[in-house]
This record gives sequence, C-alpha cells and structure tokens, in this order.
Amino acid sequence: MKAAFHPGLTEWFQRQGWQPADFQCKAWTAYLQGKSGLIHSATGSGKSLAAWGGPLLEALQSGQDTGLQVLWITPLRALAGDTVKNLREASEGVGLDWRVEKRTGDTSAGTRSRQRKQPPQALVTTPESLSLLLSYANASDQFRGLKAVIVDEWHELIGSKRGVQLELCLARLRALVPGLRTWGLSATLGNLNEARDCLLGPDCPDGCLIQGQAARELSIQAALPAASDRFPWAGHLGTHLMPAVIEHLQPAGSCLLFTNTRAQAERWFEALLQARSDWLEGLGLHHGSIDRELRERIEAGLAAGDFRCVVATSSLDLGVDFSPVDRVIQIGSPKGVARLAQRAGRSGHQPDAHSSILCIPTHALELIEIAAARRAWQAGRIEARKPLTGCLDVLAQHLVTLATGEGFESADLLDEVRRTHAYANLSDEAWEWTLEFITRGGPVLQAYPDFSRVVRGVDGRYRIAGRSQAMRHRMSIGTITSDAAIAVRYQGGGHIGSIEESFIARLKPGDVFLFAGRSLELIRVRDLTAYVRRAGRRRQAIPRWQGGRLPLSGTLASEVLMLLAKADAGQFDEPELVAIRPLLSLQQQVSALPTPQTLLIEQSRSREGIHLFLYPFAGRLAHEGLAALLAWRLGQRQPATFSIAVNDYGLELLTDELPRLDETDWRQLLDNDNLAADLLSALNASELARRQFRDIARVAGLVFQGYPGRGKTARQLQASSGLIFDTLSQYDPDNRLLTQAQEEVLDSALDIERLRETLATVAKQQLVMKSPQRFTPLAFPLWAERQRNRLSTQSWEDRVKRMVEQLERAAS
Amino acid sequence: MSARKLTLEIGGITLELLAERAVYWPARRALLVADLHLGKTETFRRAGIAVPDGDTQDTLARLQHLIDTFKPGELILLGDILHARIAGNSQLPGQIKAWRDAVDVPSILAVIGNHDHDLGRLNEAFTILDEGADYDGLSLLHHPPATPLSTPWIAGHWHPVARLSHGPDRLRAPVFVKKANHGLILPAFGSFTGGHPVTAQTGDRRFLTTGEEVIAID
Repeated sequence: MKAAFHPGLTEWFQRQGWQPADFQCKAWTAYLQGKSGLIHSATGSGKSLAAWGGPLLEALQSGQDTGLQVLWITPLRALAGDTVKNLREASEGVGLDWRVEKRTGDTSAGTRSRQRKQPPQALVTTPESLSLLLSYANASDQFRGLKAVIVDEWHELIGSKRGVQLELCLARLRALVPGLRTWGLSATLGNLNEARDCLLGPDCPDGCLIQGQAARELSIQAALPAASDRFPWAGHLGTHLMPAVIEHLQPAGSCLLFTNTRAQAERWFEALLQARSDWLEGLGLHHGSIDRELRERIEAGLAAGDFRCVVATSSLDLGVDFSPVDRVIQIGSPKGVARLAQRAGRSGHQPDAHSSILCIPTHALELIEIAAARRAWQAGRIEARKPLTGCLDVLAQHLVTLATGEGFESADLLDEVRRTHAYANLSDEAWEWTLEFITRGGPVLQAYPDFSRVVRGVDGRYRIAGRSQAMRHRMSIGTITSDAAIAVRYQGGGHIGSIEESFIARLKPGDVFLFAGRSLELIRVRDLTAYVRRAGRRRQAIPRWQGGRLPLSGTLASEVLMLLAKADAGQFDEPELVAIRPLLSLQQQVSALPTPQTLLIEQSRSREGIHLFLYPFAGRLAHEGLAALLAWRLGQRQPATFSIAVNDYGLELLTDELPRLDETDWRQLLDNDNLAADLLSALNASELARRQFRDIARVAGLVFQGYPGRGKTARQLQASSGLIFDTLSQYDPDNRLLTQAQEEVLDSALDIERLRETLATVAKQQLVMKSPQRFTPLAFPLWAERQRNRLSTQSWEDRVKRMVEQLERAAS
Repeated sequence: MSARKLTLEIGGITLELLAERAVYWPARRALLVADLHLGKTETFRRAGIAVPDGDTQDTLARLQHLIDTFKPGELILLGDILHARIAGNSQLPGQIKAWRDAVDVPSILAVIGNHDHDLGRLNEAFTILDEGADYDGLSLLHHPPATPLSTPWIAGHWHPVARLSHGPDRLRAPVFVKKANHGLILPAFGSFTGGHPVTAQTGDRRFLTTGEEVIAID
C-alpha cells in the first residue's frame, strides 16, 4: 500500500531512480500521524530516509519551518559530517530551503554563537553536545519549535551510560515541547521492543516498531591455517596469517580491515606496511584516538576509492550510508553476532549483493568462535543489549547541567526524570541524596564544609554556584566517554591525536612508541600534552587503550560450548573445527573437553604456584564474579592471596599454596547459598569496586581531568579516583556513589543473576577434575592473560614481608 | 632488615627514617616531614568536587603525635605545606594557628614549595625559609636538585612510592629514596596525597614504609 505523499519527495525519489520501500512509507505515515517509534533495518537499506522523510514531508505540507525543527543525534561525532551531507542532499532534493548543520565538540565558537542566534532547521549532534546545549540559559527558547528528535544508531547507545544521559536529555526536551516525536534507528538487536520502550520512555505506550529490509545474506568465512602450521594457543596478533590477508587484498577494490582494539590496529597497519611497502599510498589507519582531520582525510579517501585497505577499529563500524567497500576482513574474535553482521554489512551495499566477511583467527580457540558466530547468525540468535537503570552518577551530572542552564525545581524535575526508562523507579531517597550531593557534597553536613557547586536560591530553584563551576562542568560533560586523555603533538606543532594518560605515564622521554601508524619519540609531557618527534628506531611500545576489551556475548559463548560438545562426541562438521581438531584432541587426551553436562576443573602446579582452572562458559563477567567468590571462599579456609584471570570460557585462580580439593570441597565452594553476602565480602577484598569507581567518579564530577593549556588551576584539582575512593570510604562510607560502584560491579560487571544461574547449572553438572602436568590448550590463554584482578585475605604487612623476602632471596 | 625506624647516614649525617613517613635527626633533635598539602580537600570542595573533609585534621593530628613522641627542638617542613591559595573565608589559617599554639615544639621551619603561594600568611606559625637553606651542613630543599650538590641534602616534592610484586600479588607503598649523591627524598606526609612510582637509579636505595615498619627494598 502506498499512501499519497507530497510530490516533492516522491518526485525526488523518482529522479534518483528509487522506489520508496514499504517500511519507509510506514515510517513516514506514522510520523505524519504524530507517532514516535523505532526503525530497525539492515545497514545501507535506507533507514536514514525512513526517519528523515517524515519531517521533510511535514514541512512540505505545512510550509512552516522557521527555527529548529529536527535534532538528529549520532553516537560518534566522526559521523556527523557524513550525516549532514546526506540529510542536506535529501532536503535540497525535495525542494526545501533548509539549513542542516552539525554541532559537536569540534564546532567553532563563532559557528555555535551563530547557531544560537539563527538556528538551522536541522541540527546534527552527539548526546554530549545536546547535554551541553541544555546547559545554556536560553535552552527552552532554542527548542521551542522542535518537532522531532531522531536518534541514529540507538543500538550503540543503549546499554551504556551515554544512552542514559540521552534518555535524560530527551525527557527534558519532551517537557519543553509537549507532543515532541522521538524516532530511533537501530541495527538488529535481540531485544528490540525493550530498546524502543527505553528510547521513547514509559509515557509512550503506542510507539511503533518498524521492521525495514531484512538482513542480506551474510557469508562468514575463516582463513584457515595450512595443515602443517602450529597454531598459537593464545594472545597473538594473527599476523602469521598475513599471506592470506595479502591474497585477499590483491584484487582491485577497497577493503576494510577491522580489529578489536586500537593497539591491534596499530600493529596490523605496521605489519601490512612491512609486508607490502609498495602499497604505502593505498593503506590507511583509522581509530578513535587519531586526530579528526587525519580521520576525515581517510574517510574521504575511502569514499573516493583511493585506498586499497583501511585498518580500522569500531570507529568505522557505524555510519548508515558510509561508503561501501568491496571486502571486509575481521581480525580476531568477532565477539558478538550482531557486531560481526554490522561489520560485514560494510561490504556489498548494492541491494542485491550479499555481504561477506573474512575472519582471521589470532589464536586457535577463535576458530571455534568464528564457526559459532556463523551458526548463531544462521539460526537468527542475536544478542540483546540491556539498558542501564538507576545510575546516580549520570543523574548528578544531568542535574548540574540543568542547574548550569535555566536551573530547576526539585518536584518538577523529579517527575520529569521518572519519565525515563532509566529512572522510572528512582526512589525519593536516591533523589534527595543526589540533590544533597550536588548542593552540599554529601549527606553528612559536617564532612563537606565550604562545598560549592549548585545552590538552591530563595525562590527554591537550583542553580550553579558560580562561573568557574559552570565552566568546569561544561568542560567535563563530555567525559562520560573518555578517560583522561593526553594530546599528542609534534614539537614543531601539528596535532596527531590523543592517548590515555596511563600509557604516557609509563614512558620516559626518549622512549619510542607507535601511534597513528608512526614511530614517535617522546620529548616531554607538559600541560596534558605529550610533545614528540618522528623516530627512526624500531623498538616501540604500543599504547594499550582502556576499554578496548569486549566480552564475548553470551549467545556466542553457549554456541561455542555446543560445538565443543559435538567435538567431544567426534562430530567435526564445520571447517574451522576440522582445522583445530588436533588441538581439541590434545585437550581431550591430557584433560577433557567441556560440555553442557560437565564442569571441567583443572589443577596444575608451576613455578608461580598453584593454578586452578574452571570452564563454566558463562561469559567474562560471570566468571569475574565466580572467580572472586571462589577466591574469597578459599581464603576463608586459610588466608591467601589470589591472582585472578578470566576470559569468556573460564577462569583461573593462582595462589602460593593450596591443599588438594576433592568433590565435596568443590560442591561447597560452588554452593549457591550465601551468594550475595559472600560476593559482597569478596568485592571488598578485591580491587573490583575500586576499579569500577573510576568511571563513576569521572561522570559524577569527582575527578577533574584538567585540559591542555589550563596549567596550574587544573592540576591543583587533580586526584586519582583511587585516592577519592579511599577518602570517601573513610569519611563518608554511606556515600551512594560507593554503593553504586558496588551495585554496578554486582549487577552489570559481575552479573550476579547470571552467576546465580551458573551456580544452579553447575549444581546439576558432573564435576570433571583433572590434574594435567602442563597447561592445557584451554588453560593456556587464561594463563597468558595480562589483565588480572587480585583478592587477598592476608594482612598488608604479611604481603609486604613476603615480597621483601623474595627480593632478598633474589639479591643473595 | 626492617624496623619501626631505620638509621641511615647521608653525607656523614645520621638520620632515622620513621615508619610514619617522617625523618628524625637525633643529633639536632629535628623532625622533618615533606608535602603536607594542607587544605587540599577544601580546595576541591570549593571548586564543586565533593570530597569529604578530614585530611587537614588528620595530617595535623599525626604530626602532633610525632611531636609528642619525639619532643623535637625543631620541626622542619620541606615544602608544599599548603595545597593551594587560601580562600578569603577559609578556616585553614585559624586551624593551623590553633594547631601551632597547641603543639609543644619550640620552632617550626618551613621551606617554600611550589604550592606555597600563600605561606607568607602563616609567618606567625612558621619561620619561612627559602629553598636550599643550610641547616647545620644539611641543605633543606623542596625540589630534589637536578644537578649534584656539594652538600648533603633532603627534599620532598616527588611523593615517591614503590611498586612491589610477589607471584600473583602486587602492592604500592610510599618510600624514602636515598640518592647516590648524599641526598634523601621523603614520601609525602599529607593524608590526601597521591604517589608517583619511582624506580631506583644506579646507586639509589629505596626504603619502603608500611606505616608500621620501614623496610629497605634495594
């Protein structure tokens, strides 16, 4: 059924040689009826136009379109440029004289001020910049005539604190503009209904869910090692499969090579250059830390077909109409089905062409993950992304933002905040606490003298305390996403990008590191800027960025376990499994293969101590919780210190001494009773809550990072989140942000629900206990894991003494 | 070797490193500490960063406890006594003066550090010294010298900590750093201060304090 739409739009479609798709017509009709909704469709199928067409049609029909009409929210500011171009093409095409502009952290002060005085009809912006817009005194004037907010790539935001921040901003806009329509665009998710409800808020029960074009056919292939190759067991770059990659890059056309981390992207770029120096001109590197101009140059070059291959991280995952390429390569585990499909969707954008992706396993077990991803995709099992709720750090930030802008009244705003999915169940106490936090620092008046951030005026309105507080708050609004970043510049000028402070802190002047595909020598660090020069030398450190680690999705983990069970039964019907059959046989021979019916436990001894390995296949998060729980319970039998490593398959506990454990011991250790209490104790004995607090402290404004060139004033306000965590624990132990850190670790980081289920599953499983002489193929990646957590039930003094004894032994 | 205090010689001067992150010089009956950063959380709170109070009182109380224990003739503060400029209506000067009146030590010398812009306002409480003042053959510094000095010296500023590990275990703890050129760098004494990891250069020795004991680690 095709309703009659304004000829401006239909004729433009005709001129382009297009036909409006059914889902586009549905979305336009729903929009014109004043509805809100979520559109999900495969990449490159015209999702943007499905959302954009509604506002254009309305403007064509009514002819009224002065002032800001549409806000378009994009998760990555790198995408804003392309989006503006596409939206503008369409608005001009249908004959509207609209200004479509972007407003991101990169927008100049002059442009921003012009946009305030003469707002464009459509503004493309990020959640952070929207929040910033609300921190100015004229926010309600700015948005008065707004008709719709369109949230692009909602699947990227949902499940993160940025998503929560956006929910709050949307609630504000809906309060300013009754009848405002909200539309979201999303890739396929396992929980689309929830994603829609979260975006539209609890007050919009009749939101539409519009299914666009179904996913194209997707072919997932793995590059298999030659039969004679010994495959690395863990933590490798995968460059041993370089010949296969080179071969894939040989034919004409462009290719995107995706890695999971920025460090991996740097290494692969370097390795490709070494392998084919003749391709120098045709190779590009793109990741989120690289300077925007350099990135834009790469993006433009890719669109123009100048590149044979661009090495990229998730920085190029997104972008609805981003230039299609001919081939896509994925380095390392896909980590999730939805993510792999999205990356594959970068190739073959012609409507009938099917997408394909070549996966390069970096170690043996990733072969199974690739096979598992293919099976999950074929069976239509896609991950869900759970929206967050109740984050008081984000709420505190939002309240200060509004106090910085027009100010707010408590009762009205509480009502508004509860109209979000994230805070629908916010308690009065939590609300009061948050208000106290921003006005007095904390509930204990005594503990926070001279505190000055937000003040309640005689009229009962909350407003920011002063100009310097306002300035600092605006500068920190963007910090939900970023860790303390150091700008990297050439000594002679020229910005190269930014890098985590923790990495730079480990380098000395004269050290050489690899960044943005260049070998750089550190000269000095001053005012949050690292000055560098080009270095010829080869020995380099590679930055390790925080947050580069993605957990394997639960969907994928259980698929892997099923494949292992098949292998255990001698069925090898996927090529990837055939390729690692020798490895699986070795595992079976020296230990056992895990299956859905058994829990494999391995205990080995090495020079480092006693290693316990368990393989519940419950995902990294639940393993982190289970490991902390086991370490705590073992430590109750006898004081000990444990080093904990987890991956998506299992966990490792390493300690000095441990008695042999039999089945009765294990059943006690893995018991579901007292789970919450024991886990809480484990949490306090480990570094987990302290680590989680880093994020919270940043968002809530407890850690001020300072900015390049700000010098002393900023530095005087710097303290590590660890120091603040300790001070709060000592002087204000009931602080809700500490509680939030615990809850976040329990709920999302440790996934207590999943843990409970896991223990219930384990209770029904048969325990298979093995004592292999050496690390097994499954144990090896855990042993090689570098990011470790510690849990100790020993006294600090004892621990220091043991370390010193060891030093003395080494010295004598 | 480890003890509640540890005796050390710097260029012919015998000093005791105390587990409380301070140094005692028995021959001169002088107690030395560095980097108090008084008023630090207040500065944070005034800027709208919600860090609870207690650090200044805690720092001063610990210092008072040391004074009561050692009954020194002189207390020497090696710079960064204050964290930031003192706000007009701050309680800090009053707090420090009251503390000064209460403690039983004949004189307090204060070396100006890089944070001490407003130290002049406290000249009733402290005798203010320029950096590098000679104290019976020992140079009193805040910044460790960039080039070797001919005299023995003592300084702060770095907030040195050491990282230790044993098998799976890792720890960080404050250290004293004895430099090869007869110098000593003290750990920060203030309660709300962070630390910067230092590794030992050739000829350096580090002495870790657990709060209970001082332990040589190099």
